[in-house]
Amino acid sequence: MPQRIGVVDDFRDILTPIRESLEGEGYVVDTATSAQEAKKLAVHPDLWIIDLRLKDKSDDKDFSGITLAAELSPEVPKIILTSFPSVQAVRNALGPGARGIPPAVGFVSKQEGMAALLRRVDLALARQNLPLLRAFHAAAMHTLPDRLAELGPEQASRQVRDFIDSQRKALTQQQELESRRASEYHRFSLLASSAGFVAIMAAVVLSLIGKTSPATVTMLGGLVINLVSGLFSYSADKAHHRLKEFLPQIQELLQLANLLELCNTFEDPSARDHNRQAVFDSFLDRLHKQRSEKNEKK
Amino acid sequence: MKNQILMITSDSAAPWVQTLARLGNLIFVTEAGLVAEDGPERFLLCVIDAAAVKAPDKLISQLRVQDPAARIVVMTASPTWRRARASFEAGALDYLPKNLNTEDLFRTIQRLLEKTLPPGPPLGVNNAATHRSRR
Repeated sequence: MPQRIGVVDDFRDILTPIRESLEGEGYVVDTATSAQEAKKLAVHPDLWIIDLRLKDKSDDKDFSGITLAAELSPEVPKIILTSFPSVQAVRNALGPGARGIPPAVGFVSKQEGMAALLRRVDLALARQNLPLLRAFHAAAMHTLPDRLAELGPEQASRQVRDFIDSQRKALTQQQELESRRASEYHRFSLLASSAGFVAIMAAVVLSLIGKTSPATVTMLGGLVINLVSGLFSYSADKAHHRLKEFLPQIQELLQLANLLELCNTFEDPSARDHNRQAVFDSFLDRLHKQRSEKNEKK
Repeated sequence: MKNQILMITSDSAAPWVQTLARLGNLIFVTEAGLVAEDGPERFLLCVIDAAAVKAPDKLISQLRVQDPAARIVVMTASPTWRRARASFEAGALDYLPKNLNTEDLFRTIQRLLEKTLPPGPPLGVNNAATHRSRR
Protein backbone atom coordinates (compact mmCIF):
# COMPACT_ATOMS: atom_id res chain seq x y z
CA MET A 1 0.00 0.00 0.00
CA PRO A 2 1.52 3.42 -0.93
CA GLN A 3 2.41 5.69 1.98
CA ARG A 4 0.37 8.85 2.50
CA ILE A 5 1.89 12.28 3.07
CA GLY A 6 0.03 15.37 4.27
CA VAL A 7 1.45 18.70 3.06
CA VAL A 8 0.39 21.95 4.74
CA ASP A 9 1.31 25.32 3.21
CA ASP A 10 -0.77 28.48 2.99
CA PHE A 11 0.89 29.30 -0.33
CA ARG A 12 -1.07 27.27 -2.91
CA ASP A 13 1.54 27.71 -5.67
CA ILE A 14 4.09 25.73 -3.65
CA LEU A 15 1.68 22.85 -2.93
CA THR A 16 1.41 21.82 -6.60
CA PRO A 17 5.14 21.17 -7.29
CA ILE A 18 5.55 19.42 -3.93
CA ARG A 19 2.52 17.23 -4.60
CA GLU A 20 3.77 16.38 -8.11
CA SER A 21 7.26 15.46 -6.88
CA LEU A 22 5.95 13.29 -4.04
CA GLU A 23 3.39 11.59 -6.30
CA GLY A 24 6.19 10.96 -8.77
CA GLU A 25 7.93 9.01 -6.00
CA GLY A 26 4.81 6.89 -5.49
CA TYR A 27 3.35 8.58 -2.41
CA VAL A 28 -0.32 9.49 -2.01
CA VAL A 29 -0.51 13.21 -1.17
CA ASP A 30 -3.15 15.19 0.72
CA THR A 31 -2.82 18.96 0.88
CA ALA A 32 -4.13 21.62 3.24
CA THR A 33 -3.68 25.39 3.26
CA SER A 34 -4.18 25.97 6.98
CA ALA A 35 -3.80 24.28 10.36
CA GLN A 36 -7.59 23.94 10.64
CA GLU A 37 -7.83 22.30 7.22
CA ALA A 38 -4.97 19.92 8.11
CA LYS A 39 -6.69 18.80 11.32
CA LYS A 40 -9.88 18.09 9.37
CA LEU A 41 -8.23 15.74 6.84
CA ALA A 42 -10.34 12.58 6.73
CA VAL A 43 -7.45 10.14 6.32
CA HIS A 44 -4.45 10.40 8.63
CA PRO A 45 -1.13 10.51 6.76
CA ASP A 46 2.04 8.51 7.54
CA LEU A 47 4.06 11.75 7.47
CA TRP A 48 3.37 15.48 7.59
CA ILE A 49 5.32 18.17 5.73
CA ILE A 50 4.40 21.51 7.29
CA ASP A 51 5.38 25.04 6.30
CA LEU A 52 6.94 27.02 9.16
CA ARG A 53 4.94 30.23 8.71
CA LEU A 54 1.32 29.37 8.12
CA LYS A 55 -0.07 32.72 9.27
CA ASP A 56 2.25 35.53 8.23
CA LYS A 57 5.22 35.03 5.92
CA SER A 58 6.72 38.37 6.96
CA ASP A 59 6.59 37.67 10.70
CA ASP A 60 9.93 36.43 12.11
CA LYS A 61 8.13 35.08 15.14
CA ASP A 62 5.52 33.09 13.24
CA PHE A 63 6.25 29.47 14.20
CA SER A 64 2.63 28.38 13.61
CA GLY A 65 3.83 25.37 11.55
CA ILE A 66 5.74 24.06 14.57
CA THR A 67 2.72 24.69 16.82
CA LEU A 68 0.62 22.62 14.41
CA ALA A 69 3.29 19.86 14.37
CA ALA A 70 3.15 19.69 18.18
CA GLU A 71 -0.65 19.52 18.16
CA LEU A 72 -0.91 16.69 15.62
CA SER A 73 -0.51 13.05 16.67
CA PRO A 74 2.99 12.44 18.13
CA GLU A 75 3.06 9.02 16.45
CA VAL A 76 3.23 10.59 12.98
CA PRO A 77 6.61 12.14 12.04
CA LYS A 78 6.69 15.72 10.76
CA ILE A 79 9.11 17.68 8.60
CA ILE A 80 9.17 21.46 8.83
CA LEU A 81 9.65 23.17 5.48
CA THR A 82 10.53 26.85 5.18
CA SER A 83 11.90 29.66 3.07
CA PHE A 84 13.11 31.36 6.26
CA PRO A 85 15.45 28.95 8.07
CA SER A 86 16.90 30.16 11.37
CA VAL A 87 18.64 28.68 14.40
CA GLN A 88 15.61 29.47 16.57
CA ALA A 89 13.24 27.74 14.13
CA VAL A 90 15.47 24.63 14.09
CA ARG A 91 15.61 24.63 17.92
CA ASN A 92 11.83 24.95 18.21
CA ALA A 93 11.21 22.25 15.60
CA LEU A 94 13.79 19.62 16.57
CA GLY A 95 14.32 20.39 20.27
CA PRO A 96 12.25 18.70 22.99
CA GLY A 97 8.67 19.97 23.13
CA ALA A 98 6.29 20.15 26.07
CA ARG A 99 6.46 16.41 26.94
CA GLY A 100 10.12 16.08 25.97
CA ILE A 101 9.16 14.94 22.46
CA PRO A 102 10.39 17.10 19.53
CA PRO A 103 7.52 18.52 17.42
CA ALA A 104 9.33 17.45 14.20
CA VAL A 105 11.95 14.94 13.06
CA GLY A 106 13.19 16.96 10.08
CA PHE A 107 13.82 20.54 8.99
CA VAL A 108 14.32 21.53 5.36
CA SER A 109 14.85 24.89 3.70
CA LYS A 110 12.92 25.38 0.46
CA GLN A 111 16.16 26.71 -1.04
CA GLU A 112 17.70 23.24 -0.65
CA GLY A 113 15.35 21.91 -3.31
CA MET A 114 13.11 18.89 -3.73
CA ALA A 115 15.98 16.38 -3.58
CA ALA A 116 16.80 17.42 0.01
CA LEU A 117 13.14 17.21 0.98
CA LEU A 118 12.74 13.75 -0.58
CA ARG A 119 15.87 12.50 1.24
CA ARG A 120 14.40 13.55 4.59
CA VAL A 121 10.99 12.13 3.69
CA ASP A 122 12.63 8.74 3.04
CA LEU A 123 14.58 8.97 6.29
CA ALA A 124 11.55 9.96 8.37
CA LEU A 125 9.40 7.18 6.90
CA ALA A 126 12.18 4.60 7.31
CA ARG A 127 12.44 5.53 11.00
CA GLN A 128 8.70 5.32 11.36
CA ASN A 129 8.75 1.80 9.94
CA LEU A 130 10.79 0.60 12.91
CA PRO A 131 8.29 -1.32 15.01
CA LEU A 132 9.89 -0.16 18.27
CA LEU A 133 9.23 3.49 17.48
CA ARG A 134 5.60 2.73 16.77
CA ALA A 135 5.26 0.49 19.81
CA PHE A 136 6.31 3.28 22.14
CA HIS A 137 4.83 6.20 20.17
CA ALA A 138 8.30 7.73 19.91
CA ALA A 139 8.96 10.31 17.23
CA ALA A 140 12.60 9.32 16.63
CA MET A 141 15.14 6.78 17.79
CA HIS A 142 16.88 9.22 20.11
CA THR A 143 13.65 9.93 21.96
CA LEU A 144 13.18 6.23 22.81
CA PRO A 145 15.19 6.20 26.09
CA ASP A 146 13.26 9.24 27.36
CA ARG A 147 9.97 7.70 26.26
CA LEU A 148 10.80 4.43 28.07
CA ALA A 149 11.81 6.33 31.21
CA GLU A 150 8.54 8.26 31.04
CA LEU A 151 6.44 5.08 30.69
CA GLY A 152 8.29 2.97 33.27
CA PRO A 153 9.18 -0.71 32.75
CA GLU A 154 5.73 -2.12 33.56
CA GLN A 155 3.73 0.13 31.26
CA ALA A 156 6.37 -0.13 28.54
CA SER A 157 6.20 -3.93 28.56
CA ARG A 158 2.39 -3.79 28.51
CA GLN A 159 2.55 -1.41 25.54
CA VAL A 160 4.89 -3.80 23.69
CA ARG A 161 2.49 -6.72 24.27
CA ASP A 162 -0.52 -4.68 23.03
CA PHE A 163 1.45 -3.57 20.00
CA ILE A 164 2.52 -7.14 19.21
CA ASP A 165 -1.08 -8.34 19.45
CA SER A 166 -2.24 -5.66 17.02
CA GLN A 167 0.75 -6.38 14.74
CA ARG A 168 -0.02 -10.11 14.78
CA LYS A 169 -3.59 -9.44 13.68
CA ALA A 170 -2.48 -7.04 10.95
CA LEU A 171 0.24 -9.46 9.84
CA THR A 172 -2.15 -12.40 9.67
CA GLN A 173 -4.59 -10.39 7.54
CA GLN A 174 -1.77 -9.22 5.28
CA GLN A 175 -0.39 -12.77 5.01
CA GLU A 176 -3.81 -14.11 4.00
CA LEU A 177 -4.20 -11.35 1.43
CA GLU A 178 -0.75 -11.94 -0.08
CA SER A 179 -1.27 -15.74 -0.08
CA ARG A 180 -4.60 -15.30 -1.91
CA ARG A 181 -2.94 -12.97 -4.41
CA ALA A 182 -0.03 -15.37 -4.95
CA SER A 183 -2.31 -18.37 -5.57
CA GLU A 184 -4.53 -16.35 -7.95
CA TYR A 185 -1.50 -15.18 -9.92
CA HIS A 186 -0.23 -18.76 -9.97
CA ARG A 187 -3.59 -20.06 -11.31
CA PHE A 188 -3.73 -17.36 -14.03
CA SER A 189 -0.14 -18.12 -14.90
CA LEU A 190 -0.94 -21.87 -15.35
CA LEU A 191 -4.04 -21.08 -17.43
CA ALA A 192 -2.15 -18.63 -19.63
CA SER A 193 0.77 -21.01 -20.18
CA SER A 194 -1.66 -23.89 -21.05
CA ALA A 195 -3.45 -21.64 -23.57
CA GLY A 196 -0.08 -20.58 -24.95
CA PHE A 197 1.01 -24.21 -25.33
CA VAL A 198 -2.25 -25.10 -27.17
CA ALA A 199 -1.82 -22.06 -29.47
CA ILE A 200 1.77 -22.97 -30.31
CA MET A 201 0.80 -26.62 -31.00
CA ALA A 202 -2.03 -25.41 -33.26
CA ALA A 203 0.47 -23.22 -35.12
CA VAL A 204 2.78 -26.21 -35.62
CA VAL A 205 -0.12 -28.34 -36.95
CA LEU A 206 -1.26 -25.54 -39.30
CA SER A 207 2.23 -25.07 -40.68
CA LEU A 208 2.55 -28.85 -41.22
CA ILE A 209 -0.62 -28.92 -43.33
CA GLY A 210 0.71 -25.98 -45.38
CA LYS A 211 -1.39 -23.09 -43.99
CA THR A 212 1.56 -20.82 -43.17
CA SER A 213 -0.19 -17.45 -42.57
CA PRO A 214 -2.68 -18.57 -39.84
CA ALA A 215 0.22 -20.53 -38.32
CA THR A 216 2.27 -17.34 -37.89
CA VAL A 217 -0.66 -15.53 -36.23
CA THR A 218 -1.32 -18.45 -33.91
CA MET A 219 2.40 -18.72 -33.07
CA LEU A 220 2.52 -15.00 -32.19
CA GLY A 221 -0.63 -15.39 -30.08
CA GLY A 222 0.96 -18.29 -28.27
CA LEU A 223 4.07 -16.27 -27.53
CA VAL A 224 2.00 -13.36 -26.18
CA ILE A 225 0.03 -15.71 -23.94
CA ASN A 226 3.28 -17.24 -22.65
CA LEU A 227 4.59 -13.73 -21.96
CA VAL A 228 1.42 -12.94 -19.96
CA SER A 229 1.92 -16.20 -18.08
CA GLY A 230 5.48 -15.10 -17.25
CA LEU A 231 4.17 -11.78 -15.91
CA PHE A 232 1.70 -13.58 -13.64
CA SER A 233 4.55 -15.79 -12.35
CA TYR A 234 6.59 -12.65 -11.63
CA SER A 235 3.65 -11.11 -9.71
CA ALA A 236 3.29 -14.31 -7.69
CA ASP A 237 7.01 -14.17 -6.83
CA LYS A 238 6.66 -10.53 -5.74
CA ALA A 239 3.71 -11.43 -3.49
CA HIS A 240 5.82 -14.17 -1.85
CA HIS A 241 8.69 -11.72 -1.45
CA ARG A 242 6.39 -9.20 0.32
CA LEU A 243 5.38 -11.98 2.70
CA LYS A 244 9.03 -12.56 3.59
CA GLU A 245 9.57 -8.84 4.32
CA PHE A 246 7.17 -8.96 7.26
CA LEU A 247 9.14 -11.61 9.10
CA PRO A 248 12.23 -9.64 10.33
CA GLN A 249 9.98 -6.80 11.54
CA ILE A 250 7.84 -9.05 13.66
CA GLN A 251 10.87 -11.08 14.76
CA GLU A 252 12.36 -7.99 16.41
CA LEU A 253 9.25 -7.44 18.51
CA LEU A 254 8.73 -11.11 19.32
CA GLN A 255 12.25 -11.30 20.67
CA LEU A 256 11.55 -8.35 22.97
CA ALA A 257 8.19 -9.83 23.98
CA ASN A 258 9.78 -13.20 24.88
CA LEU A 259 12.37 -11.52 27.09
CA LEU A 260 9.66 -9.49 28.81
CA GLU A 261 7.61 -12.65 29.38
CA LEU A 262 10.65 -14.15 31.11
CA CYS A 263 10.76 -11.11 33.40
CA ASN A 264 7.16 -11.87 34.45
CA THR A 265 8.32 -15.14 36.00
CA PHE A 266 10.02 -13.24 38.85
CA GLU A 267 7.82 -13.21 41.92
CA ASP A 268 9.34 -10.08 43.43
CA PRO A 269 7.81 -6.98 41.68
CA SER A 270 11.01 -4.95 42.06
CA ALA A 271 13.03 -7.80 40.47
CA ARG A 272 10.46 -7.88 37.64
CA ASP A 273 10.85 -4.14 37.03
CA HIS A 274 14.62 -4.29 37.36
CA ASN A 275 14.86 -7.05 34.76
CA ARG A 276 12.37 -5.37 32.43
CA GLN A 277 14.48 -2.22 32.60
CA ALA A 278 17.62 -4.29 31.87
CA VAL A 279 15.88 -5.82 28.83
CA PHE A 280 14.96 -2.38 27.49
CA ASP A 281 18.46 -1.02 28.18
CA SER A 282 20.21 -3.87 26.39
CA PHE A 283 17.73 -3.64 23.51
CA LEU A 284 18.41 0.09 23.12
CA ASP A 285 22.16 -0.48 23.29
CA ARG A 286 21.90 -3.09 20.54
CA LEU A 287 19.78 -0.78 18.38
CA HIS A 288 22.29 2.04 18.76
CA LYS A 289 25.19 -0.24 17.92
CA GLN A 290 23.35 -1.46 14.81
CA ARG A 291 22.65 2.14 13.86
CA SER A 292 26.27 3.24 14.30
CA GLU A 293 27.49 0.19 12.34
CA LYS A 294 25.13 1.14 9.51
CA ASN A 295 26.39 4.74 9.63
CA GLU A 296 29.99 3.54 9.51
CA LYS A 297 29.24 1.34 6.49
CA LYS A 298 27.68 4.35 4.73
CA MET B 1 21.48 9.51 38.26
CA LYS B 2 24.59 11.39 39.34
CA ASN B 3 24.35 15.20 39.20
CA GLN B 4 27.44 15.41 37.04
CA ILE B 5 27.83 17.51 33.94
CA LEU B 6 30.37 16.38 31.40
CA MET B 7 32.06 19.43 29.87
CA ILE B 8 33.91 18.95 26.59
CA THR B 9 35.61 22.34 26.40
CA SER B 10 39.04 23.88 26.59
CA ASP B 11 37.76 27.10 28.18
CA SER B 12 36.82 26.23 31.76
CA ALA B 13 36.87 29.90 32.81
CA ALA B 14 34.20 31.08 30.35
CA PRO B 15 31.10 32.71 31.96
CA TRP B 16 28.74 30.16 30.36
CA VAL B 17 30.77 27.34 31.94
CA GLN B 18 30.50 28.95 35.37
CA THR B 19 26.73 29.28 34.93
CA LEU B 20 26.37 25.54 34.36
CA ALA B 21 28.21 24.82 37.64
CA ARG B 22 24.97 25.87 39.38
CA LEU B 23 23.25 22.77 37.97
CA GLY B 24 25.76 20.10 38.98
CA ASN B 25 29.38 19.08 39.37
CA LEU B 26 31.37 19.89 36.28
CA ILE B 27 33.73 17.25 34.91
CA PHE B 28 36.09 18.59 32.27
CA VAL B 29 37.38 16.35 29.53
CA THR B 30 38.96 16.82 26.11
CA GLU B 31 37.68 15.11 22.96
CA ALA B 32 40.73 12.80 22.95
CA GLY B 33 40.23 11.97 26.64
CA LEU B 34 36.58 11.12 25.97
CA VAL B 35 37.43 8.68 23.18
CA ALA B 36 39.74 6.84 25.56
CA GLU B 37 36.95 6.37 28.14
CA ASP B 38 35.87 2.77 28.76
CA GLY B 39 32.16 2.04 28.79
CA PRO B 40 29.17 4.35 29.13
CA GLU B 41 28.83 6.60 32.12
CA ARG B 42 25.57 8.37 32.87
CA PHE B 43 25.70 12.13 33.29
CA LEU B 44 22.96 14.60 34.02
CA LEU B 45 24.12 16.51 30.96
CA CYS B 46 26.94 16.47 28.38
CA VAL B 47 27.97 19.89 27.07
CA ILE B 48 30.01 20.12 23.89
CA ASP B 49 31.86 23.34 23.11
CA ALA B 50 31.79 23.38 19.28
CA ALA B 51 35.13 25.23 19.27
CA ALA B 52 36.86 22.43 21.19
CA VAL B 53 35.94 19.50 18.94
CA LYS B 54 36.57 18.66 15.29
CA ALA B 55 33.09 17.47 14.31
CA PRO B 56 30.39 18.06 16.96
CA ASP B 57 27.76 15.88 15.21
CA LYS B 58 30.11 12.88 15.04
CA LEU B 59 30.92 13.27 18.71
CA ILE B 60 27.21 13.50 19.56
CA SER B 61 26.54 10.21 17.72
CA GLN B 62 29.49 8.63 19.54
CA LEU B 63 28.22 9.77 22.95
CA ARG B 64 24.79 8.44 22.06
CA VAL B 65 26.27 5.02 21.33
CA GLN B 66 28.10 5.07 24.68
CA ASP B 67 25.00 6.18 26.51
CA PRO B 68 21.70 6.11 24.55
CA ALA B 69 20.03 8.24 27.22
CA ALA B 70 22.72 10.96 27.18
CA ARG B 71 21.41 14.54 27.26
CA ILE B 72 23.70 16.51 24.98
CA VAL B 73 23.82 20.27 24.47
CA VAL B 74 26.06 22.04 21.95
CA MET B 75 27.43 25.51 22.78
CA THR B 76 28.72 27.63 19.92
CA ALA B 77 30.07 31.11 19.29
CA SER B 78 28.92 31.11 15.67
CA PRO B 79 25.51 29.44 15.38
CA THR B 80 24.09 28.55 11.95
CA TRP B 81 20.82 26.80 11.21
CA ARG B 82 22.55 24.07 9.20
CA ARG B 83 24.92 23.20 12.06
CA ALA B 84 21.99 23.36 14.46
CA ARG B 85 20.10 20.86 12.28
CA ALA B 86 23.12 18.57 12.04
CA SER B 87 23.48 18.60 15.83
CA PHE B 88 19.82 17.80 16.44
CA GLU B 89 19.83 15.08 13.79
CA ALA B 90 22.86 13.50 15.48
CA GLY B 91 20.92 13.45 18.76
CA ALA B 92 21.60 16.74 20.58
CA LEU B 93 18.91 18.09 22.89
CA ASP B 94 19.75 21.73 22.25
CA TYR B 95 22.08 24.04 20.35
CA LEU B 96 22.84 27.29 22.13
CA PRO B 97 24.86 30.44 21.45
CA LYS B 98 27.66 31.13 23.94
CA ASN B 99 26.71 34.79 24.18
CA LEU B 100 23.37 33.97 25.77
CA ASN B 101 22.74 35.97 28.95
CA THR B 102 23.86 33.80 31.92
CA GLU B 103 20.42 33.83 33.55
CA ASP B 104 18.75 32.91 30.25
CA LEU B 105 21.27 30.09 29.75
CA PHE B 106 20.63 28.77 33.27
CA ARG B 107 16.86 28.86 32.80
CA THR B 108 17.04 27.32 29.32
CA ILE B 109 19.13 24.36 30.50
CA GLN B 110 17.01 23.98 33.64
CA ARG B 111 13.81 23.86 31.55
CA LEU B 112 15.43 21.42 29.15
CA LEU B 113 16.35 19.05 31.97
CA GLU B 114 12.92 19.36 33.56
CA LYS B 115 11.32 18.38 30.25
CA THR B 116 13.51 15.34 29.78
CA LEU B 117 14.10 14.05 33.31
CA PRO B 118 11.68 11.96 35.38
CA PRO B 119 9.97 14.01 38.17
CA GLY B 120 12.24 14.76 41.14
CA PRO B 121 13.55 17.62 43.32
CA PRO B 122 14.22 20.92 41.48
CA LEU B 123 17.59 21.20 39.80
CA GLY B 124 20.17 23.79 40.75
CA VAL B 125 19.31 23.69 44.46
CA ASN B 126 22.10 22.92 46.95
CA ASN B 127 24.47 21.82 44.22
CA ALA B 128 28.05 22.36 45.33
CA ALA B 129 30.04 23.17 42.21
CA THR B 130 33.11 21.04 42.65
CA HIS B 131 35.48 20.73 39.73
CA ARG B 132 37.31 17.55 38.91
CA SER B 133 39.62 17.47 35.96
CA ARG B 134 40.15 14.32 33.90
CA ARG B 135 42.48 15.92 31.43
